[in-house]
Amino acid sequence: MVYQKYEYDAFRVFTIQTDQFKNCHMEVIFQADASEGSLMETCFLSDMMSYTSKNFPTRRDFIIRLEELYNTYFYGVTTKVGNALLTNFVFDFLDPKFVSEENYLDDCMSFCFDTIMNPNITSKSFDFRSFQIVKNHLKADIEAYKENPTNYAVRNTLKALFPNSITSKSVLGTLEELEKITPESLVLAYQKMMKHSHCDIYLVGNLDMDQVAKMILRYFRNPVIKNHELSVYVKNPLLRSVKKVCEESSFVQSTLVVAYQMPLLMKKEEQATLSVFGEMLCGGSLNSKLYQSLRNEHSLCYRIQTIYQKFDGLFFVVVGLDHQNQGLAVKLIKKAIKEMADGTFSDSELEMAKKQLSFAISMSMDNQSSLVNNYFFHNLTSQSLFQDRKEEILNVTKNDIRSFAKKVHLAMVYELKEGIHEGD
Amino acid sequence: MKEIKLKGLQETIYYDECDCGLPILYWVNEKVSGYYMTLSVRYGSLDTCFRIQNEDYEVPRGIAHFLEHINFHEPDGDAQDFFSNNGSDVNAFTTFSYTSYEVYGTNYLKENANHLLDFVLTPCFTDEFIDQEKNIIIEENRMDQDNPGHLLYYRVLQNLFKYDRHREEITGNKEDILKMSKEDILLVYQTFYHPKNMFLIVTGNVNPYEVSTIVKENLQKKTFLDYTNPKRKNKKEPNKVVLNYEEVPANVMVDRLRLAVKIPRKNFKEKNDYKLRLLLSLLLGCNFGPTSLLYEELMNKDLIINLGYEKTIISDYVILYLNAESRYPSELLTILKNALKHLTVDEKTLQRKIHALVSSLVLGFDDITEVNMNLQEQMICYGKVIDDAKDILEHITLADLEGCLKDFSCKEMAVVVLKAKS
Repeated sequence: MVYQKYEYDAFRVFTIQTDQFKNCHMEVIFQADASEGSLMETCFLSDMMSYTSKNFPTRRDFIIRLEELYNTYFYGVTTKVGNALLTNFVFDFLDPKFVSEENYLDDCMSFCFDTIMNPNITSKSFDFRSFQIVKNHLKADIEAYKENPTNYAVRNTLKALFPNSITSKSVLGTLEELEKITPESLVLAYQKMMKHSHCDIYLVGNLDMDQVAKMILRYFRNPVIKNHELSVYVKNPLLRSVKKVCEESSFVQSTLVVAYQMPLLMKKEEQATLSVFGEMLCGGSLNSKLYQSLRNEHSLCYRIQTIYQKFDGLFFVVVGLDHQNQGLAVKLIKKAIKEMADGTFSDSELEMAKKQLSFAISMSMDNQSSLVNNYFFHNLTSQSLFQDRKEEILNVTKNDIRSFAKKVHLAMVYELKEGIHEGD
Repeated sequence: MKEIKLKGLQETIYYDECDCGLPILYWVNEKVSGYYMTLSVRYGSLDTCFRIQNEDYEVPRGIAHFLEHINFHEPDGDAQDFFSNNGSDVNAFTTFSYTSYEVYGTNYLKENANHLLDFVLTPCFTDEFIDQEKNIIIEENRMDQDNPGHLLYYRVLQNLFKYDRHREEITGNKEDILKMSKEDILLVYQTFYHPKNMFLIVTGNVNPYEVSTIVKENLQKKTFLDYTNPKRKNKKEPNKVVLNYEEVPANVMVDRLRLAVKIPRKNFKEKNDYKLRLLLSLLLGCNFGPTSLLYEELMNKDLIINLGYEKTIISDYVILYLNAESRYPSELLTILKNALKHLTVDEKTLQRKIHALVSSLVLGFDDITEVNMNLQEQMICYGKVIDDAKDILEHITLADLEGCLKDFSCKEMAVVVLKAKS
């Protein structure tokens, strides 16, 4: 794999040249400060920009064009990572070597950047019909979080922990926020994004990258130069007491969320120790401490998830279980973390976690999205590239895990309690 | 070792067979770092009633899935330990028709292949393990109950089929799970977990000759009883659906509709199941996909939030599904039913869709998991590797689709609407 960087006045192009895939994967990533402006509006904007365009003004036209380009995929997605608001336009297309049309690559690049540069705007307003459809989708998406107990529970945990912090703000906002957005306000949001957001382009594939970089420069005519710094880290205060919340629901199964704070991570902790700690605590395999304890020894649950928001200094353990087992589950989770802080774990547990992570990194190198993600965070937060990450993981010691586990701090126990059902 | 060339795709599947009857399939990609190995048993949740040498047996529903869980237990621990120690990943899943044990790895190929065969083909069932696993699977089932998609999926199957066991959940329900006994599990294991009823598929960065040697050496050390060739017992399913329409209150914010059409397989003149599936996909794509005029109209009128389609062949029936999220499900239903009676397709759209499907076929070979899953499906549905998929696709004509349309009937439909609780 050959990593290259092309710097232009208004954007940068990062490429990974490899013959591993028949697909080419490109992401145009706009980055902004999440605490400035409306998250919901940015989310709406990315959906609008990838729904239709000036030259393909109906969804049908748009999809027909994608099919003509050998079933290419184009979509926009907005996410919040710590304090960074990221809008990714993802474009997947076939390696031009597999098609007979000589201009295929040119056509693909032209379509992708034309979509971004020429949105469906007339007289300072986005196309009203597309606006209404996208709005309906977003409305359904906002409402749908109540259908999934895990999403609902984690979102409410965040709200209860830090109601006023950017940490608890969701990209998919509220129905009230949605109602305030108009086809005109989206045009202003579009102009703001093009003018103020950093923009980087990432491309993975078996292409002549010098040629593609020139092509991008030709099609991506965004002359605005942006120089401000963007920090992803959110400094939330350390909570002094453990919050406890129990909410009634109509779900069949209860959902338990145990939230921990991870204050002031050192570079090694952020880059490597946290990953090893996470793998030992509740990695993908059933050998991790929590699976051993909650599932194998006590038969309390089927699935345990851990969710890490390292730039917000938080992680969550999420368990679906019977309400009556909630107390025991909390006790076992606390015990597992205490054992890690006390060093009550074997060398083989540590080595197993490292091997698992090393394997996961190798598998990620076979995935284009993961390669882009890794390269992007390498540029944004100095996270190591995959090749170096393996080495860093291997260097994590038992003491590193102990020190890290001592730092984590129980912040909240939230339960979304099951309802009463027929047969209970 | 036989080489099966996939016509027009420049890809090769290697096929080998062990003396004990286990077929092995390989697809090699030397450019990736990992491999994906699946050992599958043709035993799924449907097979709860069977006959062995004139004797009938009935076992609890969900037993295939239960067996999949406890088969990980080994005399000195759990199969997970071995694979995790090797920095590899092991898992398993159960479908209606088969159970598959899967390993992802980047090294320790020999050790992992041997251990996969060892743990799957060496039963270690104790009453203690069985009891311990019951509550875990009950919680898995409870988790599924909170998923509206799961609820809708099974409700439609229950309204489509009177006897066919697709109407029953793969995990079984709480009562079924509590009934599991060591005797039944052993019976099922000894009857179905036989190399002649299994297949191994390895995709990724591997040398097929090397893996075949490892597998054959391993299996030569094992003894297998004669395969009893159990016969699955199924009641004859009537053509008529059980219930045409049902509304179910559910934990959804927007109503969800699933419409299923049940058509006897024999109604279709196209005898090749693979081609029939393609024809049905194209028909549904042209009429209900995002490039159809109907889809555009439904979106413009706010009658749908999304609309999707699926097709499948279940036992002796072709089943077509339309799925939608809608705030106006009754109005939508009238339109969809009417559209099903007036399906059309034109040459230009057909050629574009074929073009797009060929591209997906080519890109499918970027992913070792996708190739493996496709081979599993081909072994289960067709009992062989489809080596002319691209040819079949590229030779589909408008006349083929028109022929398929003539055989099409939407007389038997089951519709379920999950209603948002106000």
